[in-house]
Parts: sequence; C-alpha cells; structure tokens
Amino acid sequence: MAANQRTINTGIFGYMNCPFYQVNDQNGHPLYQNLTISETVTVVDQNFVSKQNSGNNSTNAAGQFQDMLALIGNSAPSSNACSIVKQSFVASGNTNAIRVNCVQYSSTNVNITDVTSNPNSCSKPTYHC
Amino acid sequence: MTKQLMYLFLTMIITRTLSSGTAPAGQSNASLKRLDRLHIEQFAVYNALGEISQKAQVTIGVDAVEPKQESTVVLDFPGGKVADLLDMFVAAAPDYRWTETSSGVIHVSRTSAHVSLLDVVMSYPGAVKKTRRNIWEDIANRPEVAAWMQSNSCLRGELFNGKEFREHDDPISIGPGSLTLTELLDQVAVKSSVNYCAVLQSPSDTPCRIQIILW
Repeated sequence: MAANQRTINTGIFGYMNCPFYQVNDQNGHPLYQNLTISETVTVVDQNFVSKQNSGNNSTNAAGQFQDMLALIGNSAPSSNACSIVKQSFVASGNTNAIRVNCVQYSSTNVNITDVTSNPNSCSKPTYHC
Repeated sequence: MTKQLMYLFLTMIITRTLSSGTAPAGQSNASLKRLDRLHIEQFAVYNALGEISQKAQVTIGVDAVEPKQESTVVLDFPGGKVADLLDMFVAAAPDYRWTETSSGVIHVSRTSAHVSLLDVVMSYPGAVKKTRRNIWEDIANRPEVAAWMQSNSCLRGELFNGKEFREHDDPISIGPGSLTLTELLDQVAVKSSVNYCAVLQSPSDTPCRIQIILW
C-alpha cells in the first residue's frame, strides 16, 4: 500500500491521504478483476463535530482501488483534534471484509492500522481520543 | 366493556405519542416501514442517526445545539417498524425526540436545544439542475442565512472527510419560493437520495459555530 499526501488549496486547512490497495485472492495473488468495494465506517471516538461518511469504490481491471482519508476545514483543526474510525472494505461477491483499518485522525496527519485479523481491537479503551 | 377497551386503546395511543415520536395521520409514513434486525453503533448522535438513515433507508434531519460531551450510541434492534427503532434510539439518547413531517421526513431534535437557524424563512430563488454540492454551497449566499449568522455572531465550522459529495450528487431541481432552511434541506435530502441532513450548533457556552450537513 502506498500513500501520498498533498497540500490543499489556499484558505482551506487540513490534509488528504490517499492509500492505494491491491485486492488479492486467497493465495495472496493479485485478483485481476473489476470489483465493487463497499465501505462501512464506525466512529469509535471523536473530540470534534464531524459526520463521518463512507463511500463505495471500484477497482480497476488489475483489482486496485484508491481510498481517500481527509480532514479539511475552513479553519485549522484544533491541535488536539482526534477522530478514530473503524473502516471496513467488502468486495463484491464476498460477505467478509477484505480489509479492516483502525484510522486515527489528528490535527496534522492520519494513521492507518491494519486490524483485519482482529477487527474488534479497534474499540475503546485500546483506541480513544 | 367495548367502550372501556376503546378508552384504553386511545390512552395507549396518546401515551405512545407523548413518550416518543409523532407521525402525521393518514400519510404514507416512513416511520411505519418495517425493518429486519439491525445493529447501530456510532460515537455521537449525529453519526448514529446517519447510520440509521442509511440502514433503514429513511430520510432523517437532525437539529441540535450540541451537548458538551457526546457518547457512543449502541442499538441492537430486533426488527420492527422504523418508529420502534427511533423509540429505541430516544431511550438511549433521552434528550432527543423525533417527529415525522407530512412528506415522510423524520426530524430528530435535541429537546430545549433547537437551532433557530432552521426556522429562518428564505426567499429562495430556486435551483435548476444543480448538484447537492451546488445547493449546499449556495446556502452560505442566502441573505437571510447570512443575516442570522451575523446577528448571532456565528461562523460556519464544517470539517470534511472528503467523501461528502462522492455519491448522490446528480443534478436536482428545487422550486423557487418562500421556504425555511429546514424545508430546503429536507427537499434536497429526499430528492438527492442522500437521505440525511443536520444543522448542529456548538455548545451554548462556546463561540458559536454552525455546521450545515447535507451528506
């Protein structure tokens, strides 16, 4: 997974991080298919008001898709800004999540922890603001 | 005996109406829609109601001066009507109440913490084939909204995660006329199928910040 960050337009504060994912088969080989990726988010904790949204995505023919994680506002987020979100991706034709992240937003960056093997770990008190 | 049963039945209806939500009689009520078992778990009421609107596929509008502290809302709904789910929500968040409009939009508001911006009547010029994003951005340009913001020393304070307008952003039209901000948000939420809107104001002892959420 590669991530990149870029500066947002003048007058708008925050950051954007766009992780890139490759969907693999059960043997760990890239799945060369166009897939629909459904995202669900569960807000675990947050110390500012912001409604979290999920969004569906789709892979390219090589089974790759790009997510976007951002915290953007008209003024700078407070220095102690914190939001923790459990993010699950399910690929079309599957019932189980292919990837579960515990996403921690701060005022300046977002940290992604892969918790696919133990999704319940992304909860309080382990993760909290 | 029949009369007594009728009184009992009426009393039960009235009690239920007073203790939870109200829905207009004789309408096609969203609150009567039947749902299977579902689990709701989100930190903060506005996120929990967003999940309810998605899973129940009903339009919900939220109105609250925010409390100082939010908490996690967890609902294990065994199945039943949307009204039952909303009653379960109100039991978990007792300072909120719900009502249903004649057009089938469910309004959830924080008791004694109403955001008066929602009542502002606008002379709305209409929107023809505009996206949800276009209409949301234009709200800041409405003179009546700007006047309310100024007279209440409020600033806008939305924080975005980047996925607000990824879906349900096809062009829609809203007719011109005199309408409140609530009515505008309801119409956009229904016509765009985003099914959710909220106006949240910062706690009363903090500098006034308004979030108009249409995603």
